[in-house]
Amino acid sequence: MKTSLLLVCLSLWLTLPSLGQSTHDASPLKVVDFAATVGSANGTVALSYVHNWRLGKKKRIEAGIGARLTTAFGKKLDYTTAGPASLTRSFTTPFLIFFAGQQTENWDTLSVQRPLVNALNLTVNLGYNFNSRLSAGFNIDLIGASFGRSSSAILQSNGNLRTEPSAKPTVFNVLLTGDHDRGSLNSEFFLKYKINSNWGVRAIYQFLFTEYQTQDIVQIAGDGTEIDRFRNKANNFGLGLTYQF
Amino acid sequence: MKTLSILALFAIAIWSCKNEDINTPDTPIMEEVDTTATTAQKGVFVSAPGETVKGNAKIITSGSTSSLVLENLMANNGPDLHVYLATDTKASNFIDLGALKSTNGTQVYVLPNNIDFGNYKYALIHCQQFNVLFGSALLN
Repeated sequence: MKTSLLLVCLSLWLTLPSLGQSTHDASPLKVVDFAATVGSANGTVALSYVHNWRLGKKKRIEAGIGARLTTAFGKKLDYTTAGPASLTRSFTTPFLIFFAGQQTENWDTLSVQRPLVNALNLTVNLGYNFNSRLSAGFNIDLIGASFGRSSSAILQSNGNLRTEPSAKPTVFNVLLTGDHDRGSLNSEFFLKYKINSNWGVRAIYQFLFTEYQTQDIVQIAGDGTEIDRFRNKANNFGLGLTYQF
Repeated sequence: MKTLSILALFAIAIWSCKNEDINTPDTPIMEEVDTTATTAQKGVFVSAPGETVKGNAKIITSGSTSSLVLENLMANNGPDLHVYLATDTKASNFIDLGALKSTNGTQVYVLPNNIDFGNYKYALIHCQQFNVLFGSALLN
């Protein structure tokens, strides 16, 4: 994720000056994408719409917004304490929090037995076209909402096991960087190859947050804070199929 | 393009199949019980509504080692059945002794040290994945 942030900052730094120069003559790219990824214990499918503008003199750079519906599923996934950042990180300055140490001694683990989360989020997208066929890009969810399956879960706290009868996906999603984040958020790095003027395929590395919230039981932190949100972070790989209008 | 779509669907199908639920073995087993051990507590299994669990549960102690013995167990099968030692039949607080070895026979589960048996007084056969109680035995 630290690498992701650096690349985003670098891309923004490179693209922002050219935004003003070329937005008037840029014809937007409208793309629908279907992606599927798998990881060690989970998987996702995602359907997204991307609206990018071509930027720069050679129109090699793309930037834009979109919307994405991600469905994440798995079995017996471990979710760890999802903030507050003051308990889980050594310092909490937004953005710089990526470089903060993790205070794992304050983490508890919620093992969600049958997780299934649908996250509908607005996205921001960046890309660079190496030539007419090959491009690379990054996208990340910004804000949205989640819904999904309630599931029983087991909260492991200081060696004790407790049953949570019905954990639910956290409803509100928002990207606030690091452990300030809330909810379920998808992000991707990808290489895209255009097969023809409409169709393309993508090779995807995905970094995915999903979040569940307990209803009956909570983690009691050392300072007395009651914590009911737990997060799974997954590194997945997959393929995408794109159609450009 | 059709081929690519088929390959993608195939990959998803393969992934979802590898996580299929697996029921507990039902081959009868007869594990050896330490006859020199003393019985600290025992109880009889009571079936949860809609399920069938028969047999006895007892905690035996030999030296510094305690074990939970399920005697002549007969249970209907289900996915992801586990043996718990719990404070109540809802498994509000519990110790997971692992997957049920078989739905039939006599089996022994070694217990961790320093259990408060006055508090953890129920032996449960519990479907962990769906949080469903199959049977419980109050250990007296």
